[in-house]
Amino acid sequence: MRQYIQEKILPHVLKPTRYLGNEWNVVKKEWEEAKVTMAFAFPDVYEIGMSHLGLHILYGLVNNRSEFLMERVFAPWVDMEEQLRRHKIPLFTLESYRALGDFHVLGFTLQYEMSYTNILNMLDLAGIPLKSADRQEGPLVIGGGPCALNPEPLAPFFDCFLLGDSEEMLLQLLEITARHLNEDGKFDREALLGELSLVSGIYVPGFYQLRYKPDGTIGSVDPAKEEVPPRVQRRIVQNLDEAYFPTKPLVPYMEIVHDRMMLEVMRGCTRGCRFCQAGMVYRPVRERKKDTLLKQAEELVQNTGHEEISLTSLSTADYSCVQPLTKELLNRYQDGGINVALPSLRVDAFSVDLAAEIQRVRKSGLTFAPEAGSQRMRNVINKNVTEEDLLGAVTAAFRAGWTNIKLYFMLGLPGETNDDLAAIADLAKKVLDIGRQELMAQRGRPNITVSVSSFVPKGHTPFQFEGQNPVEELRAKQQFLRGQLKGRGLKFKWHEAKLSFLEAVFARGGRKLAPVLENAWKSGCRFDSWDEHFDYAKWQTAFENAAIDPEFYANRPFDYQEVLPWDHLDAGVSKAYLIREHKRAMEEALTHDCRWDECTGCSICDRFQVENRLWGDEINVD
Amino acid sequence: MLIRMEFAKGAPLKFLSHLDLMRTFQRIFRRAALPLAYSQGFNPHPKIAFSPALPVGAASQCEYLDVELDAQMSGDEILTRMNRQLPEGLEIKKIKEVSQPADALNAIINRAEYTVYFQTKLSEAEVAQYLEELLKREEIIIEKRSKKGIKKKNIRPGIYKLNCQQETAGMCIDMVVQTGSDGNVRPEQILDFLRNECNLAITEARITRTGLYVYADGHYKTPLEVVA
Repeated sequence: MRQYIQEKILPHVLKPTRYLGNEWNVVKKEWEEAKVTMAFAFPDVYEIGMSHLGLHILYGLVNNRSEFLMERVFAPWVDMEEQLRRHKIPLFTLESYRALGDFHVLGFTLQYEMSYTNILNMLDLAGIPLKSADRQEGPLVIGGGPCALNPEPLAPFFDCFLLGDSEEMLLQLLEITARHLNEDGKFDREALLGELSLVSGIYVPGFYQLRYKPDGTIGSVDPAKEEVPPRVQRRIVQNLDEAYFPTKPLVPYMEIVHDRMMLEVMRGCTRGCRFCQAGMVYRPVRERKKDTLLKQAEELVQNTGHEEISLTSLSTADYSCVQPLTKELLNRYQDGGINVALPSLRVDAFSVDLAAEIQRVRKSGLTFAPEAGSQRMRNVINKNVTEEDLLGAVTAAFRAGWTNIKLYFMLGLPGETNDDLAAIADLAKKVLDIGRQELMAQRGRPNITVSVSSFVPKGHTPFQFEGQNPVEELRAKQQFLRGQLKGRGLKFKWHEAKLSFLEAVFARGGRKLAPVLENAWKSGCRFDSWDEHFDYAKWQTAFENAAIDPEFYANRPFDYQEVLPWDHLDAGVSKAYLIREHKRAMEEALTHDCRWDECTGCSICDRFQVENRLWGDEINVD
Repeated sequence: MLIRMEFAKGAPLKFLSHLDLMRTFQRIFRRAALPLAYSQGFNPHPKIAFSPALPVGAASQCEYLDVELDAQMSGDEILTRMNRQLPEGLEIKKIKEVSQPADALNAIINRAEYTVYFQTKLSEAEVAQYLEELLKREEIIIEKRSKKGIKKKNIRPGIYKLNCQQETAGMCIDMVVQTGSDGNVRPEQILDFLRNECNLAITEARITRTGLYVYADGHYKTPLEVVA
């Protein structure tokens, strides 16, 4: 099979390297010796999927167990899809070129809503029935990752979802699956799901009955069986320092999005930005010790040969040992030509100075995310950043030799006025002026890129109750900013408003959207997050055919009392806390960070027996 | 010290681009913990230089690279360390320590030899006839697509030898063509010409580079033979 594909098919696709599957550190196991076989599926292209840390963690975790086997599959690009369909070859994994249908478990990672049509396409290419109810045999189809916390639009297509840190329960799921396999490797789906539904963190959507009110909102969500829990709790790795980390990750041949070593310095963030789903659903803050990270770095350097170490987290400057860690990494590896990179910069001079200290290469530019232009709006979203912070940060950056600065903002935030919008342009111009002054002596020219996305309300955040601005309004706001941000040294980037609208529909929507998804896929939607493939007309038809009004999900404010599609999935922060934070937003009141201050009452530590775990003895707050 | 190596790039890696291969070697050297010499300046990078790029989709029995080390290390030691880090499809065949300053591989290599296997209904004699006619031409004009549009190029001066032989694996053409910084002829260009101009049905072509040479004064020498 491998030879057939490599001789007959790969010469005809644009990037054959995507499908080789013989990368350094690849794990190829004897199929017959594995008790349970699993395929990890990333519903986007190789370059994006291989940059995802979660893949490397689970790949190592599962393959370290002799009785289990995990292989990988990514969404085939359209040229490869065409070849597979023409040659009638079912979608296969990269390690063994085996059809997905041959595996016991097929796990999709759900990273963003706009990858959902690719999931259906991959199931179809594999010859697996799309709906759980139609699968007499074939793999158990499971999903994990952030979108598993509101997976309802995908509910009929999946057998179960893993909520939270998958490394906490995936092995357990495979062990249970192993027990359910009969001699010829088949299992009784209903019986297996019955047992899985009792495992904390595993959600079986088919075991819940939904009732709707006449107005289309949810009346109730009830377990269809006695023993099924009414709410499913997210699973949390409590001690990240002792958790498994892959130090022999796959090293790709082709250039991928994040082509470097990844050190996960911490997980979670408690700054409490009210729009940010990651900040809400990855709590509490769990750090790794400096020495643990140094040891992992040493192994990564030996096992990969990469030229850069990236310190990943939601906000690396907040890691309590960031300075001693970076210093030590530089001491050890600088002479070997290995860089250290900080992918996420905080908006303050401390972060810039740190970056200047460690990054010898200044060509790439720096990115800051003030998110809103006016102080009022930044208070609404609880982004604890002042104008002074930002101007201080960019001054430090220009002085340290950077000329390219990228600024991230959101438009359409709750309660946004024209003044708030105009403030985005004003702030960008202030940054440009500082750049001109600071770079005059060096004869450099500042380049400011203002990248503005449209606010998308997400489940499990204080802004889940907020409707998104209608598409026309988003477009008008984009046009306004476009007019304001003209001239030398300024570049304005924005996102397609209709795509943000769709994202909001699926982020806030429920099970009734499943037929829409299926219609859209049938009419040819794939790679919706890729500009060249996004076709809103097809989506519009899909909504019409399913008799669904998308604005009901995207633009309608949700009442505090309304039962939301994800209310029966417990991400850790209580609804009472989200309501309280939403009210505080309307009052423009700030909420502090519970890492360095008292508890803010999100309820996770009490209810889940977890806590913020920091190792440093000093706090890097300016 | 400067090290010149001859290596093979086998079928499992034939789809790697030149850039992919360069990155792969950088990582092999790092994993092997060789004492690499780095360039001076703001953004130091290891000093590694390669022979002319191999077309994507082709395998090779003999590619070359120069790597500079800033500490002494025996060829055996280098080989032992590298072999532990080589992915399936790469093989280091020869290693030579270069004592005198050497000209860049890309500047001195000017001839490449390829064998091309393909499926055809024609007999050996018929294919030979076509090749003979091809070599009689003054001009073989092909169209090159570049970023600036389509350019016409005469590849006839860069073709030095075309022989064919029927073998069990299919029809085989052995070719010697120009390569390097002064000009480059790719086997695929010759095949395309045979397909388009001579209506030759050529399918499933498998291309292997079998030699890279420095041609001067009527002699072919390998890049390892020209350095002391």
